[in-house]
Amino acid sequence: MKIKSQTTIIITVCIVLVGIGLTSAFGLWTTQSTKIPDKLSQTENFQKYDPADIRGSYTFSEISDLFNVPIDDLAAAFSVNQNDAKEFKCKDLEKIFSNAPNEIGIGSVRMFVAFYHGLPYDLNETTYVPDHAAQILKQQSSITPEQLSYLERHTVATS
Amino acid sequence: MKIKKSKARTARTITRISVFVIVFLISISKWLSEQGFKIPVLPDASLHAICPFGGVATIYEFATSGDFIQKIHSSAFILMILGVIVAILFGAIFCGYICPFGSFQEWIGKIGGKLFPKKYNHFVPKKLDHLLRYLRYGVLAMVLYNTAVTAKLVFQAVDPYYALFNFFTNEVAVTAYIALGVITVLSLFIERPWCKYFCPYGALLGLFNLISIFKIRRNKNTCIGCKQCDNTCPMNIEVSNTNTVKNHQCISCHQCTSEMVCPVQNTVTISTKEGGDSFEN
Repeated sequence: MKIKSQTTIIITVCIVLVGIGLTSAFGLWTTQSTKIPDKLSQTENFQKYDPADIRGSYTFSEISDLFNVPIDDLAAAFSVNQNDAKEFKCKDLEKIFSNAPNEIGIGSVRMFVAFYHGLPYDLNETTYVPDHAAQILKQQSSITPEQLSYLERHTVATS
Repeated sequence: MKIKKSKARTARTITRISVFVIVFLISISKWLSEQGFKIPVLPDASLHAICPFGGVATIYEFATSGDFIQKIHSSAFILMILGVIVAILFGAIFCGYICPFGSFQEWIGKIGGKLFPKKYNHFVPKKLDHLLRYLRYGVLAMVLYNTAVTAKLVFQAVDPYYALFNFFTNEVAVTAYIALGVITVLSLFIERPWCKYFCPYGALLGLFNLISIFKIRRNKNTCIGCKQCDNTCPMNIEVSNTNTVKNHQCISCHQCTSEMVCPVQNTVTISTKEGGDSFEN
């Protein structure tokens, strides 16, 4: 069986379009993150969202809604202008703290959110938060002693 | 005959320009949506979401955790599967007709063809060229390994395709810009240098040329040995020396066929098996 080159491309385009159409119809085709973080499995925190699943594309507004952290605290912790805080994306933190001696980025937000509510956080990770964030965290009653000790050793002076 | 050649070429050109424009518009749309402007008709998808190689890169993560690596969504995985189906049918046709970065190199190569009409695409000594063609399998292995270990899209840092379509954003690594610059300059001397020597997705798709149902075949009884097929092939495959093109480098662009460059009708065709005198389709 022979086939024309135009036919090969028509078949190719049809396969791709039909494939996209079918998977869309079954709800399998997604081009964006659903922005629903994984949930923690430990009994005491069962069904709470896992801060470790915060992605760079999350805005402070989304983090505030999902993890119940006041947006003003997030903005103050990471020196983001209050007016811009709602739409501010975690991945843009590195630009603000580009001169910091240690990396302040998505990991810092994950750590901040976890410590804010005393949620589990892998203390073997080497993550730093800015001193403003540390001050806010120290005022939270839910932070655990281990987390507090870790915080003392992983704070970066930014002011 | 002339009309036929023109039709086949036009179809290929239209396809490549369309895909290039669509990918560029999607990239601009994504960037604009991040700035707060939304283009109604275009999807709010990143380049990663529409690149089938993202699906390949996340295979290990998907197999072990059922999830995708960062920045990769189900769309890329689905496109990868569709790409495999198409490759089983026609070989690496994605490279020859769809890939916008391949088109970009070909268009830059047209300038190279004018600058070096005789030497263009023949600068690299044959033996060295033959060896370098296997480099892309090393790139593929490295990308798969590093992505599996880190669960991150490590390839983005050196991906010239990503740099080309995101040059106006601040998301491109310097190394990717360098890769894009090097490939652009090389394209003036070598046709599709990225595809030939480095592209990990091309490496994978090229393997399907060995098993694809439809292959490019030469009818040795009607071939006049003019070697126009050899001279046209962007990947320097000697079509005139083979009856069935199974070369892992073939991008199924069909430029060698009787529909495009071969002067003898029904001599270089796309078919399921050797022989056959007339087109059934």
